[in-house]
Amino acid sequence: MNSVQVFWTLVWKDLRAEMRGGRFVVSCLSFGVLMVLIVGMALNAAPHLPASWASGLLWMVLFFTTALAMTRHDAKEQEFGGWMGPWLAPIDRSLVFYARWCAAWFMVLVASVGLIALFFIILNVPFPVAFGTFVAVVAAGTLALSGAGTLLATLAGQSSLREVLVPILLFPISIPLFLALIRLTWHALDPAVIAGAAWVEIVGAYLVVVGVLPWLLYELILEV
Amino acid sequence: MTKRWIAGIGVVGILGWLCQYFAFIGSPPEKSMGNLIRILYFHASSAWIAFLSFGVAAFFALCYLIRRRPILDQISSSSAEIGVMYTTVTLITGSLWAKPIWNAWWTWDPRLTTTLILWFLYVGYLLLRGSIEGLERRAVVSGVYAIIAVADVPVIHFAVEWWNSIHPQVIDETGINMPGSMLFALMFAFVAFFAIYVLLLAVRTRQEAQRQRLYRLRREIQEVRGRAADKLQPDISAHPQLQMSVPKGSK
Repeated sequence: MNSVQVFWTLVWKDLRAEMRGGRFVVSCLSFGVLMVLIVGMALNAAPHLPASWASGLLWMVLFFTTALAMTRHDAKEQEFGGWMGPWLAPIDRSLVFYARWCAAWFMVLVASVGLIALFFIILNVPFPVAFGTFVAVVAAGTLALSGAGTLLATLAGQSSLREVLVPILLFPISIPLFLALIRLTWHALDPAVIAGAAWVEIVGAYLVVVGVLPWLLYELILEV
Repeated sequence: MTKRWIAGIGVVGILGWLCQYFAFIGSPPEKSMGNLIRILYFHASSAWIAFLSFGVAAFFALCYLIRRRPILDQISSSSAEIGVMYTTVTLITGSLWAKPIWNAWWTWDPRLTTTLILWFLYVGYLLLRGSIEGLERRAVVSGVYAIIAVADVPVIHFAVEWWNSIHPQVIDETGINMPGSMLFALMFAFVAFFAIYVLLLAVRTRQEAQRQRLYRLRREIQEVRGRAADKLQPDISAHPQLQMSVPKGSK
């Protein structure tokens, strides 16, 4: 088996575990919808949200949903020591990370589609004018968030405070990404607002950092 | 306590008193903000030392991951702890300065916000480190996190640059925006804070080394006790009445 085949096997393993009742997507979606409802009530059921508020609230909901999901991503593997399988395989350990990231991103993306649809319906937010940009921002944002989340969940995996630590570590690390995504989403909702190329560069920088660092460091985390 | 430690504490003490003299008496009041400028000497110095501490923490974490010597991890974690302390001082002094100048204890100025983020980054580091069992595992995991955190700092910095910060700049591309007498007090405060940092780093690293040594000793004692208990245990096979009966067919 070459690396690409191993990668897809690992991704397929995670997706199959989810389809067999992993509850990742369901818990993500339920938590996210609940947050949207709470936000709607906190805003006193405001009939029209400004685009700047809508973009901020959308990413707040997506952030907490992703952070919560990351703490439970490998819960099924922990049950009967199934996590040892990939670690014992004679492959580059970083490949395990990339497969996990890819599977987590796919599941977060599926949950996000439902969540965003409900967000627009419940909070009565106008449909994005620049729809293509909006889709690209959501895809890149969830990709970067799930990558950082997967890495930090592995780091915090050995901690007794794991469930609390993942959001605590993820939020400060991803603040610039969070700001960039809000700006870019704001631009997608209202193209009159100019989002500089700098914000696109921040998202790109995150994707590079999340893509390269585990290649260098993942083996170290797993060896202990 | 050795003479070297007493000398170190003495030097830091003298520098601290001189720093206070230059900050509170030697420096003239500023034209527009008056005596509030005196907060700046502590605020800016602690901010610079905080950045230095986090840089040192990441550098020694990287060295630890390459060389695997416990002392490198001890220096890294001690430096991160001191960095959190200096960042706390920066945030508190900044808030004290902001109230009379900006009429608010806190504003959503990017520089303030990102300093707070930095504080959270390293509080997360301390929580992560404190909640992992096993010396080597803890050192590796916290070392990797220290490198990730420091890799994030430039991105945070640029995010600040791309916003319109209202935070005053002591040093910018036009040079140093401060008269010589104030600059001297500021630089002296930086030297004094740096000396405090070095002393704290030495003390904290020593404490951490002793703590880890105690931990290893405790483990060794537990192993010795375990072996001794095994030897003292009677040979059950020699006493059939002590053996538990196992039902037929059970695994």
